[in-house]
Amino acid sequence: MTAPSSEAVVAVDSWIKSNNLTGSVVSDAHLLREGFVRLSVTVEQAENLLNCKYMTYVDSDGHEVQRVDESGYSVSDAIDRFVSVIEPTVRFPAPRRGPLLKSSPVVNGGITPAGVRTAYGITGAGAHGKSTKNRVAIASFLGQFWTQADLEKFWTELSPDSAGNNPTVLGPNSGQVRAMQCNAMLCCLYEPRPSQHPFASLPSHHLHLHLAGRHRGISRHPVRHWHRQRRAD
Amino acid sequence: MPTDAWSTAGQQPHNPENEPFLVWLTNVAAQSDDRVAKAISVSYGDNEPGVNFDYATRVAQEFMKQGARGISIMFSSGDGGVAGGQPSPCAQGRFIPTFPAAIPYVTAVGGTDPSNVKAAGLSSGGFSDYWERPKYQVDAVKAYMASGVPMPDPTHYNSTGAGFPDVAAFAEDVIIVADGNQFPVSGTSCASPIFTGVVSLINDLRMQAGKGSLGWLNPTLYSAKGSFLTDITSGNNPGCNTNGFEAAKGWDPVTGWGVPNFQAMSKQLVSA
Repeated sequence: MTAPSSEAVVAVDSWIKSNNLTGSVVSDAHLLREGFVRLSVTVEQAENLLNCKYMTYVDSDGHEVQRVDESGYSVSDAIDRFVSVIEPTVRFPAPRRGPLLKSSPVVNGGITPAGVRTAYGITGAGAHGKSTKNRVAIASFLGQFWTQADLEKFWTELSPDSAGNNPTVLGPNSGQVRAMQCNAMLCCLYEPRPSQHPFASLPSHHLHLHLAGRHRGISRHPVRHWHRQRRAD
Repeated sequence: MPTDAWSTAGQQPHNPENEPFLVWLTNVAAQSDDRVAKAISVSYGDNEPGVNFDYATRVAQEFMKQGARGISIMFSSGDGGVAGGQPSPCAQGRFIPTFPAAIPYVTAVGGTDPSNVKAAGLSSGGFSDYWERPKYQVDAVKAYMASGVPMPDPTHYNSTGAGFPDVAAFAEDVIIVADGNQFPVSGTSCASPIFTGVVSLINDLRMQAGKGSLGWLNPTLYSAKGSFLTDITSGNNPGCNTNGFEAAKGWDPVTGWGVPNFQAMSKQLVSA
């Protein structure tokens, strides 16, 4: 990892102060180490800072993202040479991995923990963990987390043996809890909420500035499955 | 079974919409051998071309280290068939391998449909453009290519790259609870935690017997020719305007060696 130069940090810091954005910085130590600054700003603030217009784009699945329109954006000379990337601006989300939700709730049918046990022959003495030393883990990213009520409902309806086996949360993001759907399989494992487009789900407009090198203000037209819909709000 | 949930915010340094695997791995490395979970599932990933190669190499080294200290790491192989983590446009018809699933130091989990005998069409698999084929896999891939199954044109993929996935599990119509309702979801994001649950049960039996955890699974899996799994021999993983690869007897780049057979795993991986 290449930490930003002290010159870059000073320049961006004074840019933040001169634009009265001190209260908008939501960066944490981890993000800073990676060279990111995160600002929580309104669309209007973002448009003023970047001299641009944000539009809401939608894809064929109805996902919405807010991006800069085709005329692009620019950033103050004071920080231009220190900033390599500002997101979200002109880069559209690539299709991401995630469980594909089907449209309607079901009660019967589908693969359940009991069905998994039957299909894979998980019976007998080894069917439930007993060792006090053994642990299993899942890893989540992109600020995703489960919803406790959904986890408990999963236990009640589909995996009563797992009830109460709350996971221990570990990692640099362990204090931050954001809504994510849960899925407990077998010994209580979880699925991330389908987030094809993580930036679309942020509660307010977050700008990420990556301090690493020269800023390239390339304007890019949306890839073909994103269509401009309306002014961002 | 005690469960940990790693939560890592932020993004990759070179690609703000990707996951910071390296940050997470340094935290896993910092946990003591006694405390750290010995089977870990990750349902996140990217397309290989979207990940800086130097960064990817560094991440691969960390996976190697964690495997060597007794941790089995499972990754969902992806949901786009041969066309990446999600169905994507393929430049000149070139198949899109996924990251980190294709790294030999992790165990990539592909998918089956609810019948448990057929590959899920979404199951990502194929051959890496980043990683050379590991020695333990050479015979398995050779056997697949010589088996006579219909193969895509060789211009679509790197015929000397590491093959993936290694194994498979359910990846269609898996029931979860979201926003208070049961939903069926599809994706290898389901297959990875399901397979990991089984691995962890085997670790549990081993520990009860005073043995260590399984650790990096792939060499054991390939030297046993997948004999503790149930082979999946039908279905394929279409993408890039092709039928993708065909599932076949033995290892294949759609479902690997197949799905868990818990009784066989208990015999071969615990008692033996």
